[in-house]
Amino acid sequence: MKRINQTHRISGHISGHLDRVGAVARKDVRQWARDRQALAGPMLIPLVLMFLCGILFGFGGDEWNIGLVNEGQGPHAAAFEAEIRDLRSNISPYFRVVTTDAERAEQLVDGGRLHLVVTIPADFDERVEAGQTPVLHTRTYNINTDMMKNARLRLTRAIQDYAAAQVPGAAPVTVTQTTTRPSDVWRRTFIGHSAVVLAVMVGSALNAAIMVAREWEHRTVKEVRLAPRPLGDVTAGTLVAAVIAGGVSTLVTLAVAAAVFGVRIPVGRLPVLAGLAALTSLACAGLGVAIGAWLRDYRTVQPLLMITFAGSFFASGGFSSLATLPRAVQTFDRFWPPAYVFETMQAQAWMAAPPPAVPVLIGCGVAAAAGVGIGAWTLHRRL
Amino acid sequence: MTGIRAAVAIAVKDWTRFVRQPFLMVISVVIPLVFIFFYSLVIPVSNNNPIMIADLDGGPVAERLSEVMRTIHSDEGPYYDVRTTDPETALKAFDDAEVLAVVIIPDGFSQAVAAGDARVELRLNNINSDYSKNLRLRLDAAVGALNEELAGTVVEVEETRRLPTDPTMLGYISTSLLLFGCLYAAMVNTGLQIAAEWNDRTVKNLLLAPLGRGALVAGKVIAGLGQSLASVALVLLVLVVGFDFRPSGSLLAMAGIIGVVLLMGAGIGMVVGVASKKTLATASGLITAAVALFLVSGNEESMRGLAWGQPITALWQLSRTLPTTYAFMSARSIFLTGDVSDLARNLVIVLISTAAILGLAGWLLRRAYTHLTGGQ
Repeated sequence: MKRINQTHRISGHISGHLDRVGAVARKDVRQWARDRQALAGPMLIPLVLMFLCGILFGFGGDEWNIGLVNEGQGPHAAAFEAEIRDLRSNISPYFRVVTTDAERAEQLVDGGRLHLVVTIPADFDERVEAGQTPVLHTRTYNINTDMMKNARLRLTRAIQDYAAAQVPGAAPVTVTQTTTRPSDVWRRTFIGHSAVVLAVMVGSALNAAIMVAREWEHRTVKEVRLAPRPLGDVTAGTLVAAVIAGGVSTLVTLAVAAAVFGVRIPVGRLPVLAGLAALTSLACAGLGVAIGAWLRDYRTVQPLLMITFAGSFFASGGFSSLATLPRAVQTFDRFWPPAYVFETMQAQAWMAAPPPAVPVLIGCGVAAAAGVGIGAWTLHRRL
Repeated sequence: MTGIRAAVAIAVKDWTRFVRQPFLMVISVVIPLVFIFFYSLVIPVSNNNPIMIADLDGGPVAERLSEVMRTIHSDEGPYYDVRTTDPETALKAFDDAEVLAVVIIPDGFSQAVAAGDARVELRLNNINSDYSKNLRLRLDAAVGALNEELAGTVVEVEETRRLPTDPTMLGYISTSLLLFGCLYAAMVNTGLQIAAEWNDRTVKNLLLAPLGRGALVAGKVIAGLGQSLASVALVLLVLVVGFDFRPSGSLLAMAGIIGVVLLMGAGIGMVVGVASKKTLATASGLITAAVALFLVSGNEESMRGLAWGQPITALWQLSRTLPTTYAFMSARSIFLTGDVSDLARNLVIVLISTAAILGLAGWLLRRAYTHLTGGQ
């Protein structure tokens, strides 16, 4: 009888905790859902970065717009023109010829509407036949080294391929390419997926911070302080609500990434990615609770989290993989947690043979425990 | 005279509140710098890519190819950062996914070159087409340069450039980042100042004061600008000291464009602050808007040459409708290229837009006065 009573007491105790956690979570989720500004704010940064960076830096594949004026009449000039027109990467052509008219091409490059115009001169064949080196004329709108690198290196590749195909003995060395995937992941897809990873982090962290700061902003913190409740229930309820809100942000971002940016994650990888996302979300929600309790003001919470995560998108593997970043940046990213999240989730989503999932899941689990601990400790100090 | 005194009083009141909240002050000043720091980290990616070479041959031509890969460069710097040529290290790093690419110079490469049929392999973990393209084209350029040494030039290129030298990507982006710093600081500081009047329930006192809306707008703009100046000064200092940003042009022209952009940012911040009346929406809206303006307006000249198909054409056309785009173009003329062909037109657009935005802010304030709710 005594044991039964004890069991009842324990289950009643657990049930009481769960009731309070559920009540806090329901309250926070309702407030979040009713406040369109709180609902939309955390989604803005991932969606805006996905749209702008995806379109700006990734929508045309490898295609580069040029003017191509062929003043030559002979077969060598024609072969060179064909080389330029047919040149391609394994996802798209390298060049798109916008005009072949000399006058229009000059106008376009002068106004910056084209970055490169290539003119194959009238004496191209004559010089080739005479054993002389033909000279291409180019005009560039050289606004910066990045644009010019893209234009010039493509032309260099066209010359190299022309030499290999048309001039015997002129290309003793050629390049072969082997890839782990049949075709490259388009950059817009890579960026779209990065925005989803960003949504996992910023959605949970910012929603949690806003939920906690709201108690001070709406002057309801006194009620929370005076309520006869264990602090753990308040923290857990807020964390649950933040993870739910972050999950909704992530799903919206994922839907846009799939519909517009071609993000197609293999079904077999979804369980690992979902596990990583859930643990990351919990870690970020814990940090969000800590930041919200520490700063207690929308005016400081939002800039701090939005700008830090937006910046991390660029510097920590969202824009370009860590392995492609300069050495100093790679060293910095070794100490910057979002870099691990971007890198791990990109690898799991896109690599032909992704690294083992268990170590990264364990790492995310530790991060989640640390995040929750920091959140609970900070909230305890503030309340 | 009363209006000026009132505007200054509003500004002093806001500055006093600002100083009394040290963390808000630190966040306002430092946050643009955080974004600039992170974004600047990614700039060298456009120029310099790390690469590992697995030199399985070890012969003189293979060594020469590695040397060419180390030395080919743009106007800004070398195209490759060769991390190693040790085959074991390079192949292991690729297999362990520590690097996404490795260049393999096969055994017997030097003899094959002598026979006129050598191949060098680019092995790619191709999870990002931009990186694949960059590495492939750079390797093609290095091999092309080696072939020229071995077999002579096949085709020469004579280039006519619009500008005498290519502006560096760092200089190009630094100009954009400076203007981002101005816009962000002015927009967010001014927007939050005005939205805070509703948030803190002090707006009724402000709007019922016997003052013209112009004085209110001026007071809030002065307050926002005052807070932003420290931020902009810090951004400029970091760009000059940390990123070797060397703006050309006169100091007066620089100060002028920075001042106008700050005013425009303050106007935008005030419009959004009055329209939303809530700090939550104002902060998230303005932060996102500042990042979006940086990307859209700050890249107009890059987009212009790429906009020959949807959806980038739509984005480029959008950028042409934004007054901030003309501010970025003016700044780039003044700071970077020295090309003043469109500077006067761009400045006129910026000045007229700034006046219009400030006018809109005044009108919205007047409207807010007539729509003041009883509870406020």
